[in-house]
Amino acid sequence: MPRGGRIHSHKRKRNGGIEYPSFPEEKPLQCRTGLRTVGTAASLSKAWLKCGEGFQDTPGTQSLTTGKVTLTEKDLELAPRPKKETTTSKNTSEPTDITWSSSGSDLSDEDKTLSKSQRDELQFIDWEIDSDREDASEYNEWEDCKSAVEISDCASCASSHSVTNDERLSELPKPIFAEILEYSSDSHKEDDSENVLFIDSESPHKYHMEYGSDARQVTDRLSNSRLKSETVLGTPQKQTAKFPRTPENSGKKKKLLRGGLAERLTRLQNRERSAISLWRHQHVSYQKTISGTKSGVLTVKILELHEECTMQVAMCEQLVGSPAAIPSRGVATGPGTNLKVLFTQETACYLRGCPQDVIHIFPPWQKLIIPNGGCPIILNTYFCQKVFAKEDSETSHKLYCHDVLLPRRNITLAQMFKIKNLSNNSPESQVVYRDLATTGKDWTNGPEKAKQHFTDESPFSDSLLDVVESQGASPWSGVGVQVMVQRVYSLPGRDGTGSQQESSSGHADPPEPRVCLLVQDAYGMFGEVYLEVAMLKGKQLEGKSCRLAGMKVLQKTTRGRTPGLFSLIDTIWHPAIPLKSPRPGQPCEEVKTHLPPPSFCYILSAHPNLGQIDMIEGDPISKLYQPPVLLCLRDILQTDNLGARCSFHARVIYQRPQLKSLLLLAQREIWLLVTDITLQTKDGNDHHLPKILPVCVTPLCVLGLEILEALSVAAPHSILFRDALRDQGQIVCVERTVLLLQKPFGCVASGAGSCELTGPVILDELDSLTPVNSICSVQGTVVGVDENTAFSWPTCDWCGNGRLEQRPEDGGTFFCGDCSKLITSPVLKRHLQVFLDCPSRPQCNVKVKLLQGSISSLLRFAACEDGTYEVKSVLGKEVGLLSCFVHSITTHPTNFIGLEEIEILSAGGTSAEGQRLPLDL
Amino acid sequence: MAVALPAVVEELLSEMATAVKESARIPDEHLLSLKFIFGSSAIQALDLVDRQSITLISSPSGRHVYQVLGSSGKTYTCLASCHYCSCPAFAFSVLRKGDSLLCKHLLAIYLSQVMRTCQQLSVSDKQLTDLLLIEKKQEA
Repeated sequence: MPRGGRIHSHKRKRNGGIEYPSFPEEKPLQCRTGLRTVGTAASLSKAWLKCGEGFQDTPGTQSLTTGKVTLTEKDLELAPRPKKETTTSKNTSEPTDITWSSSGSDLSDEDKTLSKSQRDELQFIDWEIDSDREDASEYNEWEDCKSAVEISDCASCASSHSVTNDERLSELPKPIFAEILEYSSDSHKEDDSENVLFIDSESPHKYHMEYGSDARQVTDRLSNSRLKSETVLGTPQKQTAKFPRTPENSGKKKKLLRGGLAERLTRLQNRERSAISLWRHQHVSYQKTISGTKSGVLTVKILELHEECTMQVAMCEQLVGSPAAIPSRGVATGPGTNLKVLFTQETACYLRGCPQDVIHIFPPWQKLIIPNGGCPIILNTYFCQKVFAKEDSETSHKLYCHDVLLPRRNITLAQMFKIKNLSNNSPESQVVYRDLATTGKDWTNGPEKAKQHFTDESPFSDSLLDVVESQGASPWSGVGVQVMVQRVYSLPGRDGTGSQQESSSGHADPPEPRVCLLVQDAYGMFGEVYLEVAMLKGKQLEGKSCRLAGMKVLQKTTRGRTPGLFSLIDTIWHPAIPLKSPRPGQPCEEVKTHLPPPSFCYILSAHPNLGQIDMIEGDPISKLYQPPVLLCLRDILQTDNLGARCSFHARVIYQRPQLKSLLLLAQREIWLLVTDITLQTKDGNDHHLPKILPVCVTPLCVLGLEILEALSVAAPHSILFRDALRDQGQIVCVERTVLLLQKPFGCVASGAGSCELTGPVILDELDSLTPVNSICSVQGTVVGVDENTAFSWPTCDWCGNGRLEQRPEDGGTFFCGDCSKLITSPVLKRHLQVFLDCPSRPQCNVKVKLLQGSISSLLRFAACEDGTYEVKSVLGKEVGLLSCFVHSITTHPTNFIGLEEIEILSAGGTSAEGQRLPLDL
Repeated sequence: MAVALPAVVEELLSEMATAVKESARIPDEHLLSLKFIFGSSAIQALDLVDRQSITLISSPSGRHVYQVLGSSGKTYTCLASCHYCSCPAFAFSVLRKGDSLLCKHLLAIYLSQVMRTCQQLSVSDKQLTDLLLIEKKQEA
């Protein structure tokens, strides 16, 4: 249907371009005018950990892109110089606090005294990355900023620590300038701005196989999500930087082996890099599995630096961080311990560390213990931040001006790696035994292993993402997740998307609709669950928290792919209660309810036998439930909220087509003409609002049997429309829209009183704004009769049957087969279309197909005895206030409106006589 | 002063081997560490392992060489005992520039040992000699 297609495409387009609200609590991150507090960095680091998706819109945070990449914010960090060198004796508690909690107010005095020298120092800072993005005026603003003393303290400065901060500040080197470094493990990346902003340029090509669907499709999907996140971030370079043609990339087209380690690693990287992972605090899962990384930030002082291959190896003294020993490996670490920290070339390049520098290393770093005397090695140091410890500004000057050539230690070619534990008897041996080789690929992450891994912790997770990540595309075995059921609806069956049906006979039975749950977990993650109808067993799941088990991930879908789903998610999104923070120890307020809606959603399917949905009573996450908010039609039409879902209660006064067959009804596009009291009683202010609103019910909207039965009888209904889509100028019932006859318990009616209609229905008069498929009242003068289509036929005066047999043997009388009797005085029915001259549409050709009642009134005095009539006798007659359905409106070649007189369904089940004045002769 | 990187790699490989032995699964963090140290080679090497592209060819004399079927379809001969691979990347990155510790083929060999997915092939001494000679001719 061309109309449907058009609407659909509009919808897609719009949804694709949804703009995200900015992230209020990240405002301090903009810090364009010289925020000079350590607290800024604190909030930044927290924001890192908290929600990657929140970093859009604000210019200052553009660089915090999806891939856990952070760039140097040139004006991010300014703080006083140190008073003295580090002593670490008191620094054993809570490294994160020590590092970040120094509030701006504590520093303000020092700031004042030191602001001058700071600015001097800052002249020499090499802002190579930002120079592309920051325009000159901003730079000047920043440079000329005399208000370096002005401290914009932000919320994350822990004021409660202010007393101890003083002590700590006197002991710790004060951060003068800190850089946030980019994580990029792509060694071929260049330093141009495109690549700087485009983080995992290679990744879209790599994830060819995820969750077991067709690889190309997955690639598309990933590209979509890739593009999506770029959109979210709003980086101006994103269009050009989509797929940089680096040599590495071109080689990446090759598909990785499905289920293999390479694929798993790319997925891990993807996970690590993706914005949603940031938002979900991906590193938490590391903390579960790796000992020794319990406390986030690691602070070290570089003692010595050298290069090995392309890595930088820094011998460091640990200042704070990771106070806990590593009991499992029996090596105590803590302040004062020597560590070797490895940096990749990129990290080292931005870090520009040198001896005596103090470096903060953020999760997810890892510690590797070298047995036999080596000191622990810190790996995965993608997030590092330098805190200057130099007293001498000249030195730092030099450091900035000259690249320091580090001593390079060559690795002898004789190096061989002896892999211990390879076999029990000969650890020195490099030979792989034949029998070992036959074990094949048993190590791959089969579901059993994953299950073990998972059930070690808890059988029921509260994180959908965790379960999905741990189970992959395989059916969940033995694990489940606690979720809140936000919506229950049906989707057209798998084959019911149209194409197959239309291409085949066209008479195929429609596939059974699927029952779906839209669920949300405590972290805000959404999932759509396909169920067997039997699984519901009449349970009222909506608004309840449930445990899902025996599921399987069908796909990871994005806004671009399922705009309909996301329009619903967006409507539900704003969480009613603060979402759970995945980071232990982080207070709940940290995860605000202002998060942008998620950019992807998992589609799950319940296993026919293993799938389980168990309600949990009294679970707090049921407070996440966002029931549909019932609005009055006037409010819906007055709010310009295109693409959003809306719920309302309205009276259906007419429907088109009027079909008796439930099956046909379910497969067709239906127009319901609805109204409520707010539209009927509108005052003069809202002339543009119609009194009657057409609602299009597309075949994608699965109608329940109850509704279908109601629609197949010509009676007015009050219908609850749940989650209908606001489209351009109209309301469309699409997939995931639910129509109900009763108002279910739990719906929130907004506004005072009900929108229930009480009196008779008033229609809008036909005018220039009347749209097609609407209904209107019309009156005018008959200026012509469409004689080509006019005809009459006799009907049974008893039953109204129009199929009468004429019996020549009985003198031409009529016989009604239904009543089995001769009709002595048949009722003549007519088909008559007249052209009207309407005062409301003066230049327009208005053709009305009349109902029998109007025809007989019109012809009451014009018709002759034999049923014929003179056209002339009809012309000039006034017909007035006919209720009409607008079939067509054309403007070319002439203004033409095709109307059909209809009977409005009124409360009594008869036509609204008060509206349809028979004739005004 | 001693270099750190080889010890890191060795320990990482050993831990991976332990993990494979104990749970038949390589933990995520080891994979990420591998990526950290070897960059993009890590994924390529893992892919080679996934495809079981590594074959250990041994002969009765005790000689053994590895053959790695590269992603391009070309076969590279690696001598793990003396840390050598016939691929151009090894010649350039490892030998000439010293930028890399290993090429992806050598890394794949080590990983295949860790995973115990190395294919085995026993040949006669003569065959092994021929194999090495062919390799020599190709290079020449």
